Amino acid sequence: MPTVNRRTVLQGASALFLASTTSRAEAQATPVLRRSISTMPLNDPALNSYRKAVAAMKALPANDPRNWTKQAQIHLNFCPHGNWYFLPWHRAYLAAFEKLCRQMSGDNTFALPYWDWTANPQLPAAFATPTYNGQPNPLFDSTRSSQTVTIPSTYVGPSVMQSIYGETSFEVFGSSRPNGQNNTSPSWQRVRGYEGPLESTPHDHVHTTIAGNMATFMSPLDPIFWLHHCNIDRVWDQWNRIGRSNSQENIWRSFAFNNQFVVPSGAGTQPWNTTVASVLDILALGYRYTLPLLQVAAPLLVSKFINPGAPVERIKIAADTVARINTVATVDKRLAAPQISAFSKLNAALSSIRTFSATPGRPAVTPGRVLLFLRDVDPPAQGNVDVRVFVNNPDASPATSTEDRHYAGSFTFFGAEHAAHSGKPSYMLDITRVVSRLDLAGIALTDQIKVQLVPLPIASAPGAEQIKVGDIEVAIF
Amino acid sequence: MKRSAGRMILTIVQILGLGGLAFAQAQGALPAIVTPEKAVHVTVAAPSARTGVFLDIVLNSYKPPTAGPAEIVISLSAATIARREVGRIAVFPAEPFTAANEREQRGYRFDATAALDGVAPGAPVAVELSMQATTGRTLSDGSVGIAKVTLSPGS
Repeated sequence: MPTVNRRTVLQGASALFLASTTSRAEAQATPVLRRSISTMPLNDPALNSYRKAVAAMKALPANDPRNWTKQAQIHLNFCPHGNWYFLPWHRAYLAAFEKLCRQMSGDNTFALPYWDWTANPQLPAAFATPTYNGQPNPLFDSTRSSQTVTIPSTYVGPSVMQSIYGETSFEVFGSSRPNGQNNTSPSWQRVRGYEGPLESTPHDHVHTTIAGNMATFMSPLDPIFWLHHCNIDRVWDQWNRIGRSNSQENIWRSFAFNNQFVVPSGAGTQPWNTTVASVLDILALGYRYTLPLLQVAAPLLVSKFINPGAPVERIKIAADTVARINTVATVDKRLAAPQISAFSKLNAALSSIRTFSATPGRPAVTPGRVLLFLRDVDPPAQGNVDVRVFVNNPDASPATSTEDRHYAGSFTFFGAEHAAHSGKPSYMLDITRVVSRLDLAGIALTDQIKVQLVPLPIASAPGAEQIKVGDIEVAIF
Repeated sequence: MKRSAGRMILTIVQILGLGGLAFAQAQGALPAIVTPEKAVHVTVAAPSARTGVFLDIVLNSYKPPTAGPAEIVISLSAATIARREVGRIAVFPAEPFTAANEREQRGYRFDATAALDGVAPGAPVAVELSMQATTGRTLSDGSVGIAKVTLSPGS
């Protein structure tokens, strides 16, 4: 009988969401799940399909666009490095390649694995041996510096990644715009700006440390390339999920990648042209990742994963908040005039939605939403807790019910799973409904917002004393 | 006399990063070549901003060592702080290049905010760029051309 725990509930809820909500999700097949290669046995079906696809692509005639060398030449001829197209271009490149792998392997559910070099810095074993099951191993590349190469923690360790996740500007995190760019001419694609820490540190160093093909622009000849970039893509996705916003600049979002990629069409291929804006939503691209760094807190179990975009207002509430078990930690922030105005507009829109709900046929209104981010949380040194979160409740206590109108949600920690991840966990709560409820009750957030954290012990995991939240922020979208 | 005194005051103000100076760029020492045997040291003034301070390094050439990968280690020091590493550059692709113009130069941006903790605005900051093997071997060749070193508040 399968074990039911919080993780399976989360995954199940996510699947429920994927199956049941949003027109976008309905318009596409269920997104495939990209998993860490460290969780895969050597004979995992995804690895078997990858071997099959790579072998087939290597065997294709040189003029076939799916030919292995042809695929690497796309990178050689078009890859942007040292500018802000680095992340979206490689995302598109991987998405097209993943589809080709499905076609070449016959596995319609194939999803690229990712190599989480932070958790497992040694080259994955599946790539390290010249043979597999007595046959040449298609994932082997003899040009590497070593088949047991381990990426030093100086480049990919948790502290490096924590610093990268801490970057708030996209043009630092994801490299800057090309120097002097003032339009969307394709000629800007390979003009350099500044490499940010994600590209210059884990990305570049993994390439050069593995060496051989990986140290060149023909690096996709090495099959580990695709898993390395899959992890870079995952880091970008995680960065978005902890509330960091991509650039809103039109010269970034509307930039087109034309005549560069191919995707399957019947038994053959067809060109795939895309834009930066078209690759920002990975669910729309048809995939997702396991265990996001930002774990969706309890009330959002059946809500959608989001890329919230740029907020109208950000309210930094507190830093380094310590919450002791069985007590209430309250942090508060007096609102500035633009923030009060943003809440007023939001409440007005929510109010109109409530009115419209009884009036079929009225035009749809986008009410906006309010998200509460609790970033870089230090779990208890031992044991585990369930942290209840309330908004503007002066009477919050360990005895306060989760039915309370101020209750926003709760979060907990995933023990060993958490430890395996880079950086500290962060959490997001959608408090739009709480704000709406409070507004209905006449408790509008007119001048001050308070957040109450109440860590409660989990009986099966005793010993917890406190947690610390690195950063608490409310964002109005 | 008055004019030269005025120029001197202006120079001091600029060096100290006062008067709304947006960034501090190393003067005089660049361009320079880093080799495994010879690190490059340039001095810049700490900006007045306390957050979002970036150290930009611009390369105009690279010649990889004949044996194995190399990296450029970037660190800061000042009168009030010991040497602090800011980042490491591994040129990718690890192939020789020489920039014929500014467009072909390669820029790298590091957040230097934490490394500058304890350094007063305007204080001189020594930026060291050294070249070493990534795997602890001794390098006998290879070089990196440094075009610019800039310490600036984030844009």
